[in-house]
Amino acid sequence: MAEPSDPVPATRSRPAPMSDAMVPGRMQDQGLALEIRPDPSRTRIAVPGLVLASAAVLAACGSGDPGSDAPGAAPGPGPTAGAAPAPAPSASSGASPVPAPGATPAPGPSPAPIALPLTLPPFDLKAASRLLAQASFGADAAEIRRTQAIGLDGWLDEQFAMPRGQSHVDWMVGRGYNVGTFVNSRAEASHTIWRAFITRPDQLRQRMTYALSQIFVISASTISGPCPSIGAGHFMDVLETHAFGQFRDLLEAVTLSPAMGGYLSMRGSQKANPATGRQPDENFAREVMQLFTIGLTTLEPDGTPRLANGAPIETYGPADVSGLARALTGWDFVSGPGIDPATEIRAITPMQPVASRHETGEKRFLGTVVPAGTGARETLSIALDTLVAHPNVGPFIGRQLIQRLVCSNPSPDYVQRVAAVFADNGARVRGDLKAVLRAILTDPEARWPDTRAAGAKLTEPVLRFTQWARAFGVNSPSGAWALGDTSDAATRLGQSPLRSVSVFNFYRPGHVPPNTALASAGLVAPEMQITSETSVAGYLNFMQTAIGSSTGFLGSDLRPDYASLLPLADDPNALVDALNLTLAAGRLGDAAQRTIRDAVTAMTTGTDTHRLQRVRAAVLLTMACPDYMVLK
Amino acid sequence: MKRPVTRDAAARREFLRRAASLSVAGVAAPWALNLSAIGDAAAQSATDYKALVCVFLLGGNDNGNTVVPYDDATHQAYATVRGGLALPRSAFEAAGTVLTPSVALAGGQRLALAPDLAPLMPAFDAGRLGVLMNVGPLVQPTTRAQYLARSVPLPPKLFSHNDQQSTWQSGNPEGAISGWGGRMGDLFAADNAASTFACISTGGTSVFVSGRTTASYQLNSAGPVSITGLSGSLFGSAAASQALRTLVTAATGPSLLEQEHGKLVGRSIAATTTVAAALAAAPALAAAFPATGLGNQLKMVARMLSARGSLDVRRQVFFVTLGGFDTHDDMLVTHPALMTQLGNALGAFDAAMTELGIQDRVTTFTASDFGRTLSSNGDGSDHGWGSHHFVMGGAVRGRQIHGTPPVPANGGPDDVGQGRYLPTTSVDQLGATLATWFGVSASNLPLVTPGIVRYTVKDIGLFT
Repeated sequence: MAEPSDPVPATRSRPAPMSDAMVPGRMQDQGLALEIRPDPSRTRIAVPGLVLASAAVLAACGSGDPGSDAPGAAPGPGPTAGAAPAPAPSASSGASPVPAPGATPAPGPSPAPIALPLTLPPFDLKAASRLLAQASFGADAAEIRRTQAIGLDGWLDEQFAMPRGQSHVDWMVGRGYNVGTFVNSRAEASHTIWRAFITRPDQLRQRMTYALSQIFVISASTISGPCPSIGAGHFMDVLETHAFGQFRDLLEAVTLSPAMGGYLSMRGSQKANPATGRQPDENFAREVMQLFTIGLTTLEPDGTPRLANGAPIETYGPADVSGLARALTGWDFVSGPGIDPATEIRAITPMQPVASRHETGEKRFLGTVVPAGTGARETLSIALDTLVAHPNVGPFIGRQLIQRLVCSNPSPDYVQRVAAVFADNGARVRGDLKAVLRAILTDPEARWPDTRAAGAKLTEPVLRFTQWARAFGVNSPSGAWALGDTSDAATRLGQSPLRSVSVFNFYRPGHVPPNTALASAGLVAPEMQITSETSVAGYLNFMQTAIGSSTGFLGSDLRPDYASLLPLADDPNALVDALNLTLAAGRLGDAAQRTIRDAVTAMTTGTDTHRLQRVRAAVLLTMACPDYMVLK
Repeated sequence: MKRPVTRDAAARREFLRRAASLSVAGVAAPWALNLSAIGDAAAQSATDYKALVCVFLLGGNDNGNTVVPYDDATHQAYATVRGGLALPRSAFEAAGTVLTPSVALAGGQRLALAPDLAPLMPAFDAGRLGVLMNVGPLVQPTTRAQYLARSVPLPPKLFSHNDQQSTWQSGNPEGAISGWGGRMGDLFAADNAASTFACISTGGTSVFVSGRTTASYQLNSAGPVSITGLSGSLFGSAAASQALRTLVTAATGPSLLEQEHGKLVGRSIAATTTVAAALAAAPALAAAFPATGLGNQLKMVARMLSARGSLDVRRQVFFVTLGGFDTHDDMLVTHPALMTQLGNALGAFDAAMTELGIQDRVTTFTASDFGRTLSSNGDGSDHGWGSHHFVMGGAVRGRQIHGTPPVPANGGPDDVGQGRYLPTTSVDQLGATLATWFGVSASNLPLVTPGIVRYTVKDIGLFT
């Protein structure tokens, strides 16, 4: 946002494109009365939370034209959702927790419901490209055309029906990564993940797996136990197995996976020993609640925090953590005759209970009582049932999946619609992830382009890279896909799949970038947490190397194929149009298009080498544009 | 504090200008209202140079094996609760880390540092390192009885990593938009002509060094990274290179995200140029830093300090991090290694400050998500609350134990469960004391650490 301007005059009379200023609660204070103001009496027509709006407003929304009146006009002084006023501290107010002046409570899903028509927009080529940016790792021009032809539902049906390919473990074992020096290696976990993300045809399953890996987090860099690459690959296989399945099954498979067992140290946790003072390990018990199922505070069905006396209600306390930790004692990697502790068998087999280490006394957590004498497996079942039945799970997980796929600040109504499907898929099944995924991707809020920051998200570096790789047929002739760890922000992507620095993922769903207009607007932007003065330079340098490579880069043999673009090299207009559709789903503004076109036009041509340089420059310039980086 | 009137006036103008630009920005309204009540008094000015360095130990450092009871009776009580995690007294004797403070603790109590913190002993013995016992976030002074009865407000989301990191750094859980390091930067904005370098993190995104108006600058520990494609030719074309510069810094996109991204890239390009030149012109450092993550970060901070003359700043706040402290398991292997890294890096930094002759102008302190349980979970410890920390620098009242050593006992006077300590010193008191040394006036302390208004003791005496 530029310098804040004066409040928008109340006299404006025509509908304007949606901008950050046009959150309904603010318009009220500015005296605006546009049709997209929610009218509760009209909101629940067929789908909860949808608001009828004039076609004119929505047409403007999709134009990408910020308009001329007050783009990003300063919000008025009125109430801003998600930003509770914080009274100044006072010596006499010690009886209640007083937020610091200017400190902002974590903005929840702050934007008020936006107006959307009940019908979805036309599924043109831009819409198809946009869907593939949300739900796949990218696509080339041919795949965009094919997707446009079969339509939204056609593509989803095709993806849901698509068979799984070779598992990560099988691919690694096939290449001998389970023996010799590889048993202590970690790079191969990244190789197989890049391979799957870039080449597998079941893109929606792969993309959902990646999204789940950012909720159920382990790190290939730090997991303990045998064969870390195999263990990490197995963990991805576990997520993939359940990506279109039931949340309850997914949670159990994750809980008992050797990788998670080692990462959050449930593996080896024993019942208390009063003689030594030893207590059960609380690590997994705490994080399975905070991060994998219910979160820290009680949620409304739309994902906003429920308040009591103006304050959020915490979902659990120390006694629930220690109670659940007691319930989850007694699990370990498989062992027994014939199982070599050094082989990958232990890394790919669910943990097993060891009865002597399990706490057999009564266990209490979250209002559930597990009677004394209950065994480890049954206790685990009760514990996971308790967690999955908690009403927070739908909005908590649903909102994060929306953030991974569609936008950073979904409206509460969007979250509620998705959470409702989580609660019941229509056949009285709770936690059907395939239905949840369909609900997320077919929601009007996902399908209508939305140029407000609330309706956008910064595309994370991993997805920018894979999008380039898939758009331009990147291949690894040796089949090794040896790109490895791309975590270094100074020289690579500042992000690498399955390698976040902690169980809190690369970024937090509630991250508010300090000192930005986003913070002032009460918006979260998770991906900004890994965006810094260093990473923005590292990304551009990494992409320049990758884009310019002809035999491989950074130790890999990955190489692009620009055959589809070379014929356009002498026609800068056509080249920019092709890149704008394939990479940016039509988001490049006029100024950016002109800048790229002029730069390409100024470049020498006449030989194939010149044409290749033109293509490379145009690709990098496109991927450097903020217009490209922000998906909306 | 004597200051030239003209500087003061300029400082006020700068402060109010930045504050005014903020006050229309929606959620900042409460702060803006507060500001108008404070008015002219807020802006600060300084003519000398000072820096604060926060060393954040990510994951929650195990306080129990960092500063350890050494006298027979207390060590025995500690060993009883710690079980298999207890460090024997002989380990401290062998490492030479038994502390002999200039003022002995009451009742014959003695303390020792983790054996692998031996590199800190020269600074302690020379009076440049103080130990602060049992500090942590509180809303107000809180007794164990009040905690157990929940009769006073407590910090929200206790024992949660991300929220307690944020609470330590800002006073609020995740989602906070300014920290107390950054808020000090706000107050001294007029003294930092190059405001980009007022608040610097080499340890990733941090709310600690984000002010209400002062943005933090993230610096790579190997130095600033320049964008190759801007060096004059991109894929053989000067026009393409120029186009790249135009595109990446465009801050006019249709939504705030594009605009903020463009601004960030613009800041990156400008800062890289300035910092690279400043570092190149600065004298080389003789102090040898360990080639570790923390060593590299603190070396970069030391190099920035040596280059401060070219950066046009009088007050700077730095943030560095060391990860891996969430020692739920394998603690007897991982924690000593972390202590080694911490001790070596801090020891090198202390030597570098002396070498630069600015040891009195730079204060370094440790912080962490929380302390950990004194009880063992078999081979590690779980999330706690109060913890022990270090304050280092020539201005520090070193060779002293500050605060109150907690009693290591299940159900003891400081225990809120499994050896989690209820803090006896609050982060607000620590922050206010550091801010006072930094030059923040008494009346401005609530702008930095708002909770300080609830404490009678606003300065815990860390400085001479």
